[in-house]
Amino acid sequence: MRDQLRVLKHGLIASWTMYSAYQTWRLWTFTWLSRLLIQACFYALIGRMLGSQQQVDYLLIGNVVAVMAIDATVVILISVGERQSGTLALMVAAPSTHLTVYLGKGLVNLGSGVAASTTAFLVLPPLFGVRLPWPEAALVPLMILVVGVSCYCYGTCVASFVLGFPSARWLALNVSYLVLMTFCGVNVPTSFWPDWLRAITSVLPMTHGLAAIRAFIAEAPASTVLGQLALEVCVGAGWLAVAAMSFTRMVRRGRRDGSIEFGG
Amino acid sequence: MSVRVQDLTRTFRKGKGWRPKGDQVTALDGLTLHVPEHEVHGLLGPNGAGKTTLCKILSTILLPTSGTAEVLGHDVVSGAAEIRRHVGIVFGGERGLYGKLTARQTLRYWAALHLLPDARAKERTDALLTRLGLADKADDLVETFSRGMKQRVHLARGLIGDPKLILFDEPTTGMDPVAARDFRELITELRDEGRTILITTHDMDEAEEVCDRVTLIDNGRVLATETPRGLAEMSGLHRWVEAETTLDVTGIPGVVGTETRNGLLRVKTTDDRAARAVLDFLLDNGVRSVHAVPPRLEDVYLDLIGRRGMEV
Amino acid sequence: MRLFLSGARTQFWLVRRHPDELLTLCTIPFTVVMLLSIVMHAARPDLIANAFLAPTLIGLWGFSTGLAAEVLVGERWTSTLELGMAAPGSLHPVYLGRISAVMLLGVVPLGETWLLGKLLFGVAPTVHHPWVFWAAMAASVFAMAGTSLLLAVTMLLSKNSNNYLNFIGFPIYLLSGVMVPVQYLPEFLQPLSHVIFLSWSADLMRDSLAAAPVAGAGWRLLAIVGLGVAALVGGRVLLALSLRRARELGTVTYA
Repeated sequence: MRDQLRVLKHGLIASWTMYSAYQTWRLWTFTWLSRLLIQACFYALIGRMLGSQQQVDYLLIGNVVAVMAIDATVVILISVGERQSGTLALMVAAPSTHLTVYLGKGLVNLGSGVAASTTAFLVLPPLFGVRLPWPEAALVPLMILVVGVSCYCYGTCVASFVLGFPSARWLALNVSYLVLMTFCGVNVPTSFWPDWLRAITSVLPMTHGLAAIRAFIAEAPASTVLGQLALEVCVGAGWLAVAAMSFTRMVRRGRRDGSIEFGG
Repeated sequence: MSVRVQDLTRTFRKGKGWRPKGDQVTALDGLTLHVPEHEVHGLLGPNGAGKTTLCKILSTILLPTSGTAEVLGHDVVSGAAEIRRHVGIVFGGERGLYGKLTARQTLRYWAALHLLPDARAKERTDALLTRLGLADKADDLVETFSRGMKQRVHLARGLIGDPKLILFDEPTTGMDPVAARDFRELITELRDEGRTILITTHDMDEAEEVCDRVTLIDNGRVLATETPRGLAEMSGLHRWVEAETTLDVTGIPGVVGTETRNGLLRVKTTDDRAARAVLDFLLDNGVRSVHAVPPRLEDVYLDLIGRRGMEV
Repeated sequence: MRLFLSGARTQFWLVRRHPDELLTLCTIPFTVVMLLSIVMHAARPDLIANAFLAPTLIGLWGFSTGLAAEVLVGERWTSTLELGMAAPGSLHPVYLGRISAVMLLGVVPLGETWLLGKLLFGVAPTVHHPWVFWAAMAASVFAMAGTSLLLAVTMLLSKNSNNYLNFIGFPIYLLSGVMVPVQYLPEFLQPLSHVIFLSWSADLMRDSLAAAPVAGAGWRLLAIVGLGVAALVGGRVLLALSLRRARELGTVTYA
């Protein structure tokens, strides 16, 4: 366990170094953060066109949380990139497990997403006249983090499958987060969808966590909020377990059929 | 014994997809190889001979189809975890490195993956950076390095876990002559530290210079395992005699052929005795610049593996 | 013209080989479902036209900027730009040809949106003024080509082009009122909308879907085309300048 934590630590340092080689604070703020804020505004403004503050509230909160999904699922691109850099053989041949590295590869981006959503949550509601129950609302960023982690787990799971089809990584990334943004109660309640689709959304991340955040803001009983959050955690854990199995299986299969490429 | 490979066979199916259905290809075909401790052992053979497949199996990232392979006394299938602690891999070329990390960060990262505690990782990183002449550039990004320096980062990375066995896959690919010479010195040092080294290479001069023994592989089978010199000796290859002369020697028994290049006569003879007869004849006739040439590893390679060796 | 056509042909080949570049076509359905679900859930059939136009125009924009910028920025990565500069033919028509090829594909989101709306939600807006609608679409595609060239050259000069390209989408969608008409924006932002051709396109196309007669269609079409021409000229001048600079300094990127 301590060994794995150390791997995670150095993996994080490495990811952070690589991330900051392309991103600076200014670049992040003026291109990425502002893009996500404007995206949330785009949807909140639809609420304004629909003519009810209730719609504005619903769309704004939904999209403030949802914009984090892009960052959370970027792990799909990153793990494919990791594999293409030719390190998989070295990792498998190292005494530590490659799982920690692969599963932790996108955590820096998850941080970026959670930071963006949190900023959106602090900045945008006043602009659109959305009332929040302060000071309790200060707990919402924590819930955003829970949703983020859950989305991240889902991302690693998709990543584990996309590793075999690296050319599909961009498509996989876009479809993965758009599914969450479209169906998981971001713009319309999940009850809007047919039953079969609603059943699917209940095992997707975001659905329960977002429901918890909405319930919390509406000052619903704590049991409802905690119940939904617990479901979100379970969903995330489920996806992570599948991801871990799938990564392990990929390596097992790679050892069998020789698809783990030796560099050179 | 560091490496003990017995009747190792590995087959692949051609084709794409989850379960390829194409023709079966044999990469290793009942290969047997023993490498004792503290030996520098070269694996020679054309592309596709099975060298990399063997390295993959020994580094536990590929399973054998049949036969057994033991590394440091552990089976590659059942004892993979133990093997991974003591085996280092060094690739040639630039793959497997992160361009956006510094040399130091690269080593610290891999130290963690090799389960080194932080204090020890730091110590070993510093030591390796100094040893490989990277100390001045330790905090520069790897992507700014020359090819030779990247290769040294690769080496340092492979040594971070203090391996007992090191697998080098085409290590001098793209190295300039100076870097290649340094590399050969390093190999000798590593052996003197008590490590076992397995090198796959196309470079015959390199193999001849650094390897204690070499194994020639072709079509997944071992053609021969010997010291570079011994391989040449026992290969039964022709001995050459070179002399600056225009005399005709074709009548001497055992002379297979002659050729003249830039005034230098090269006589191909069947064996040592014939070579001696030619030498005596030339010396008796007052020719002064005369010598016999033993076959080189390259000749042996070309003789055993044939023209295909040239295509690599 | 020959260079223009060969550029266009090359682009079609490239797109066929790299299906990844058709990504926008795969993301459009999600935009369609998102926007239509919002208006359907709010029981606002009067806004269905908006929900149809938005994915169409977002698709056109996303598709064109993504691919067009890729044409030039991709060239830079693969260093074919240098090869192109060394080739005897003039570069502008070739690039414009490649970008225009992309634009033609940019009409595909329109069909996609209508089809999905019909299939998934069983709705489709009536086009009351088809001539105006198609004229506006054609003008938009033209203006898009010019704008793409301008954007692509700007991207070429920037070191973080991907970041900017990623950034620029939503501000444009917001400012040009593809979904929510410009009058819902804060007043100080509204003048900005007038210099984005897409805002004229969105307005005119929305009006062409409505039953009421379209006022000043000619002038408004002219505005779209005019902004397109301005971008085209701007893009061309900038490309010429940056290629000349590249020859002088030996670098294309401004960084």
